[in-house]
Amino acid sequence: MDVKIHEINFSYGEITKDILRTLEKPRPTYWLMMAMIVAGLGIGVASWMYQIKEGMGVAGLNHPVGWGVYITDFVFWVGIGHAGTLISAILFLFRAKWRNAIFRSAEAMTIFAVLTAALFPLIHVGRVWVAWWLIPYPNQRELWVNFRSPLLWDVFAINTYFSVSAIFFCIGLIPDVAAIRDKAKGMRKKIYTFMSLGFDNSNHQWRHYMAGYGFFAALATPLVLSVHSVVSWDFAVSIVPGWHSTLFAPYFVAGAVFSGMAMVITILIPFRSIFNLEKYLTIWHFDMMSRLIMLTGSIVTYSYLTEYFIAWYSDDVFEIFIFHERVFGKYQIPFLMMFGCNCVVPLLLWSRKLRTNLKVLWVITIFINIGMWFERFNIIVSSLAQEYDPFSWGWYVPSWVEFGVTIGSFCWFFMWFFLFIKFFPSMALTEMKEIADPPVTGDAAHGKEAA
Amino acid sequence: MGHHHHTDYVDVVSAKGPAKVGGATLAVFALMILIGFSAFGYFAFLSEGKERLGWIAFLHNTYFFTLLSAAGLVTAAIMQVTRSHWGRTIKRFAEASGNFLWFSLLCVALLGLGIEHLYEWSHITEWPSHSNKAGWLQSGFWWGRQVLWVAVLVVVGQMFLKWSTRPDMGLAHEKNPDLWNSVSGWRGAATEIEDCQAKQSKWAVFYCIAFPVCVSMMAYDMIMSLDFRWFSAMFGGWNFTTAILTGWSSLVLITYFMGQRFEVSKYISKPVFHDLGKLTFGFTIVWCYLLFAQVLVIWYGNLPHEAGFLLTRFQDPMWQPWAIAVFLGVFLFPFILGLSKHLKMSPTTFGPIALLSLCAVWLERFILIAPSAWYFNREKGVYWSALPGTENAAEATSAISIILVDMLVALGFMGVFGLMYTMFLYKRPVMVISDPRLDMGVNRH
Repeated sequence: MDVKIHEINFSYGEITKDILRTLEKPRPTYWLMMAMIVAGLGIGVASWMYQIKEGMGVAGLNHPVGWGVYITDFVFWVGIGHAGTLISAILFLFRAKWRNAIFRSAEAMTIFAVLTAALFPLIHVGRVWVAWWLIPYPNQRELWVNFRSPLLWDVFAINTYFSVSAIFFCIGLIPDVAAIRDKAKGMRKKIYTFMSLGFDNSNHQWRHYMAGYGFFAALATPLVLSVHSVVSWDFAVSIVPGWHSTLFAPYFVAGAVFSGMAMVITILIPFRSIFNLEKYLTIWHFDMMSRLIMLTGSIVTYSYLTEYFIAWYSDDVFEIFIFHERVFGKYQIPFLMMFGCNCVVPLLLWSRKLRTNLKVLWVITIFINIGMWFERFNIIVSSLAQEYDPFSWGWYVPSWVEFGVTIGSFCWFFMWFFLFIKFFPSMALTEMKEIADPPVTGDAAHGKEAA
Repeated sequence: MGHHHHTDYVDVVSAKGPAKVGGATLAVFALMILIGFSAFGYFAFLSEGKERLGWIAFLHNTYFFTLLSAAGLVTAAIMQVTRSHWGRTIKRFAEASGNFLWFSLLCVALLGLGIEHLYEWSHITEWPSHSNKAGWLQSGFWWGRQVLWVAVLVVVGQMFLKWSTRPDMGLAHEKNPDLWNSVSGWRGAATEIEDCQAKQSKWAVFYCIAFPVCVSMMAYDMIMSLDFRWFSAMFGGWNFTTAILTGWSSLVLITYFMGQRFEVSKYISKPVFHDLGKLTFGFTIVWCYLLFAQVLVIWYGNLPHEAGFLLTRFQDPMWQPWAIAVFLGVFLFPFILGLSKHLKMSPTTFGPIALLSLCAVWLERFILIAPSAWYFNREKGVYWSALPGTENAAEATSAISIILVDMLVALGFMGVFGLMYTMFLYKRPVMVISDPRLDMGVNRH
């Protein structure tokens, strides 16, 4: 098997010790990073509080651009949340063994990214204290949310995605948490005992566990498609030029996986180095992830070109105008950032030499992250700024408050991830053991240390 | 299934030698070709006022079988690009579908004669001043593009096939020099296999890029431009995805029949059929997803120039029953039945489902083409056949007559497809015997 050829340079016995080393007492560098993250989060919180106090006017949002950086951030973070479930569920169903070393951290990233995305509707509504009005519930005044609005579909889609991803993540953690439980002491032992739900490594439990895991993988797979499709319909079902496109759903899904995979790599390369996990996270894993980026990046480029072709072919003056303006108009820089970072820079990955050079790969993935943020900005802002009637056109410039909140959102995401790596194994012990050569003597041979 | 291991496949396959197509099979193919192309010839060139019936059938079948052939090849290319083991035993069966593309080239070249009968835009002499279509939809330019798209598929596909079949032919010759011709410049299996695998992988990547691009452009040019006021950005993507669905579903049937014909079924384990079933099932869902994603956006936007395309198919009594049949056949039945693992495990149970899916995709192509080509001027509500000097088809309430002509012509295309398929497969080892991943593919349980 390819996986055997590429991956196995560790022994069965050292897996638990090596991987659980990430849970040990943090080193000063960890605290330093955490302090920077909390400081950035503070900027975000302060910016939001300022906006709450002063009103939405402090954001750059105004007629006609009512959706700006906040919705850009929202779509960006929902997109980042796609890689986890893709790796956990779809690659599981495809029996891609290379997912074993990376799926746990990618899944965690999904949860945190969706948590981050979920902040933005709250931030964007302005009067956050009445955000609960968004929830449909029977009431005496018979006021209902608009079920025909894709924004409401989004609420349901993202909640479903978050729920299933979180359950999937927790189920995947059970055997590993049980393994930590067996080694932990004191309060930690009590917490992990509770979280492991009585898992005792028996054959009976494993049988049910594996069946349940497969079931959740099958359930989560369509959600990978549905969530960003629904997000895309926030735009596409309108008749705003540049938004109203049948292609949006698969185009957004591919873009989401593209950006999600890039973020996974951006995080895993330093993570691997900091925790000395080179023998578990090999060049081969990054090569495989890069190939997935090449695939989804190609779909994204195909979609960009198709959009332009169809706008040109349509003979619709409004469509043609918007797409012309994106390239040559006031929002040219976001367009160039989008196209350059998402279509041109990833071409470097077609060189095996470059994509297996982790320093180069890391830089490329950062470019992709930037490019995907600008893609959303480009779509959202350019179409709203110059809709049908020239009299209503307007120029949007993000304010420092929006930038502050954006910085805060990144720090919020990284804060969760940094907490996660100190409390849970960032690689799945059990699945790493599945691909290692099993021990043939001792207790482990009888399944006493199955996890 | 027993856990015995097969290691004899190189000897067994190479000992078979090139096969001959049976006389009866050839006769059946010849008869199908005669019926199909006689029908096309009669309607397209001899009937007065019904030329369009012949050309609709020709366009429809050219499109369906070209995409089926291209998709067969892309399934093999996908196996190579993804380095998968599961389908190695059936990779050659998939590759053989690509041979039809040569005939496709001839068909799209011939299609140039039917432009005026099919495409309303070919009659427009004065386009609006700002129109980009005025330049894009010019008969000569349009025709050249169609030839180009198919030619690209042929060239890239042939290069992929060349590097896929070469080491197998060479290895078979090494094993049985009496049966197989030598391969020119053969440097021995050890050197050739590694070299050819690398080249094959490279061309597989090129084909995987060429396929969506060329098929998308064919979809926009050949089908979408029939109703040239209408456009859907997803149309190209949807069409090539549907083509891949036909690639998997046809492979279920081909594998079953060819496995038996060449007595290699023992190497094709049940999980292979299970995997083919799962891929067919998966693409069935993707088909519906992409359809829904298009319909929702158009329905919600409710713009006249977009919604008309759907209304024609969903509400016009002439087309509605066929549109429903397409939904049932491509999605609903294969989806419900495909949920069963048991049904997917065997070609005898999943084969009929795959066949249903294939036929329904054929009908789907029909429902995309015929209503657009049938209406000459939707804005005025005048049918093409209501033009002076032709019979008044505006009174038609059923699409049966159009479908019957299509089915007759389809017979001819099926005959050519079968002939081209056998011409390729029967002259080469029926399994990729030199492939290093074949062993894993054979010995999986």
